[in-house]
Amino acid sequence: MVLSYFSLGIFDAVFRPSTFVQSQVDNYTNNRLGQLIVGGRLSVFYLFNLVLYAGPLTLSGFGQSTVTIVPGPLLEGFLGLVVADTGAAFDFGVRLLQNSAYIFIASILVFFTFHLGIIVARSSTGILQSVHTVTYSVGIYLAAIFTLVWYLSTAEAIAIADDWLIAIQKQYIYFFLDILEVGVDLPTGRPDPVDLGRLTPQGQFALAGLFLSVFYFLYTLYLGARINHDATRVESLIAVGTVSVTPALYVIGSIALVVFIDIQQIVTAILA
Amino acid sequence: MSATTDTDGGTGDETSRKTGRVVFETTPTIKVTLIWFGITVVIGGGILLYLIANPELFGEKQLTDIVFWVIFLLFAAILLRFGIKMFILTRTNYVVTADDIRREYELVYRRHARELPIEKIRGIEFDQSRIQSVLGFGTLSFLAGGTDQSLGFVEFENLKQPHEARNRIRTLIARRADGD
Repeated sequence: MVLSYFSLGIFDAVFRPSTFVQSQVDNYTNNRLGQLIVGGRLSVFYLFNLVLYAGPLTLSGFGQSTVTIVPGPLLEGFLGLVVADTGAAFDFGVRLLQNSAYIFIASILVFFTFHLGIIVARSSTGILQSVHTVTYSVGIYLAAIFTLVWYLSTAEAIAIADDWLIAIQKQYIYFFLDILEVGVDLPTGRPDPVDLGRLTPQGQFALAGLFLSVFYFLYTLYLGARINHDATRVESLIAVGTVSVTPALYVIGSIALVVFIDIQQIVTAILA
Repeated sequence: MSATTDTDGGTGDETSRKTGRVVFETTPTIKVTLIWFGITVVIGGGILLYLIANPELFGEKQLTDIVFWVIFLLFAAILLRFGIKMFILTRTNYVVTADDIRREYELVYRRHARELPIEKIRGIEFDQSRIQSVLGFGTLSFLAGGTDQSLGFVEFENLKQPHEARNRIRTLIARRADGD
């Protein structure tokens, strides 16, 4: 039964994204209790997908704590009741949280920017409709994007594809640095040209999969705005546009932080 | 609570037993989907051929190859979707009885039916795309409260002679409202 729903979900995600991202509008308009139940269901669905994404990563050894965190006696005692090796279980839990953190932060950013776009376009039919749209689009497509990026950064056979992806990201950051003329450089400097002639077929497929996932991700957000918020094409494009400019805002914000705030000084002051 | 009833599995006899006299029964056309399939083949094929003919379009051949695969996979998914849709449409029946309207299909020994009692119908939405309009087909959505995105609706997609079907169902609703 669960497997049937899971495979149907994957089928919809690939072939029928409109069905996949569509919410049952009536459920949201009934009453507060109904909305609470739907919100709870969406949270469980989101957390399930988060674990589905971060679990295998953690099991395969991803994530490394830069600082050693030791469980408190109460937590250690509780873990002792469930597992034999409390240290390993605690380490696994910390790495699981660490691996989930990136996609969790990305989800929050996507949700706020998407709903902001919907509000700006004046087509909001409710916050749960945005939660539904983002939960489903992030749960599958953004998770796929993150997984492919992880894969690109680790697999030996596709090192060139990873180098190219990093170079593109650096070029993106330098695009804003050059426009803003702030005289700031990345620690690793400008990207060197990558010889794509050495790109392997696996690398090509991984990059193609990555771009396809980005397309699906943005398209489902568009469909979510169209179907769940009953938005027009232009209003939906505004919502997707708001999400799309998030990386640019993030880069500009980071540059502003570096230029106007001496982080080193603040950290030193706090520690003192 | 939804006014519609979704039924999965079972046999056709089970569904028939629950309903009254069949007023009319029809099947959807696959022509509209077939045309979309053809349009997708032409557009997708055209773009892919253009990329093959211009390998340096994005500066380096490898980049063009990546774009080629993205577009190929995307169009393959769209074509497969149209293929599945046509397959389902060929196995779909639209049934109107004196008591309810029903959309049902059978797919690889799996039967699915969605029913809506006549007295629960609150409105009929008629939709015709440009292609449907040219070919004389249309889509009728029978709404039972809520919106057309909710579960409370049954859709007769790609219906042949949609105006006739709409008029017959309107008459049926009016008769039911008059208590006939």
